[in-house]
Amino acid sequence: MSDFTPNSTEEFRRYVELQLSRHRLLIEDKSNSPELEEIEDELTELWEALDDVQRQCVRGMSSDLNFVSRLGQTAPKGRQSKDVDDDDLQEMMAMKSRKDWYGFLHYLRLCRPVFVAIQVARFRATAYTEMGLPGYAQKFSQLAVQLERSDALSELPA
Amino acid sequence: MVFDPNDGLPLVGVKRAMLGVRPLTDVTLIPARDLNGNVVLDRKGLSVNADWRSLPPHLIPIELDTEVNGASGVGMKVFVHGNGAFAEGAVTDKLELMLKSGSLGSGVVCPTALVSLVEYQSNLEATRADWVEDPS
Repeated sequence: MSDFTPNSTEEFRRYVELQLSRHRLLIEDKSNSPELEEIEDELTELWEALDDVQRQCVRGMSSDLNFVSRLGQTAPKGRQSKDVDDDDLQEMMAMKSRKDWYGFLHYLRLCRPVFVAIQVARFRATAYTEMGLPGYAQKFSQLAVQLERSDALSELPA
Repeated sequence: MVFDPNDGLPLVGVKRAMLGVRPLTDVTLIPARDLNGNVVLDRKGLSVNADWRSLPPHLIPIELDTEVNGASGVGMKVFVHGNGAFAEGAVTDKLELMLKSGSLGSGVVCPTALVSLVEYQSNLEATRADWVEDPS
């Protein structure tokens, strides 16, 4: 595996789980709930126990969840298409061929602007499924379906 | 830090990411757990960081999301206080910055002398107007 694959420590697994729970609460508009506060306190504590690779990984996963919240829109400070170089695209495809899913997700984030949102959602659904994170995978497969539906509706004759 | 939308400055309070400390979490009190007690000088206090990029994703404003850094904090801004180096020393005449054990990039703003929790919170609140949004 590449330098992007984190050690699956207990703290890392717990962080990943809590991050998804936090995302769900935010989607449900529970940003002021005691439950969210509890989760964020635990995330802050767990953060100290993560190494650099694990931190980079959960950061990326957090951005991926933001992509779901934004319904596939580009991140506020995300790259533009012109910033994506061929090397990153080639690395992304190489990681996919090697089934190095953490590495693939990393390069997909860098190459995000050159893909349409539905494709990104599908890629992420596949990667998270392969990584054994069905809760995350479901978020992206649901988004892909949602985006397909809205595309289909926009193509209907007026 | 969480901000007040009325004036854009840090929100004063006793919850996470506010300008203030959580009495039973961020400081040690004497007598123990007495909200009218004094703050023990044990290098605990309001947590601060030298660089917002090193914070966990939920403490970085979502508006700064790059698709990679994970920024997902809600209702937050990055604030800086003063323009000196991030090093141990006076913040005001009643507050000082102390580095966390084994870290050069994170610390706490704590009282310089034994004060009540109420006074400490008030001293933190007094710095409110001095926090400016980080342009970086």
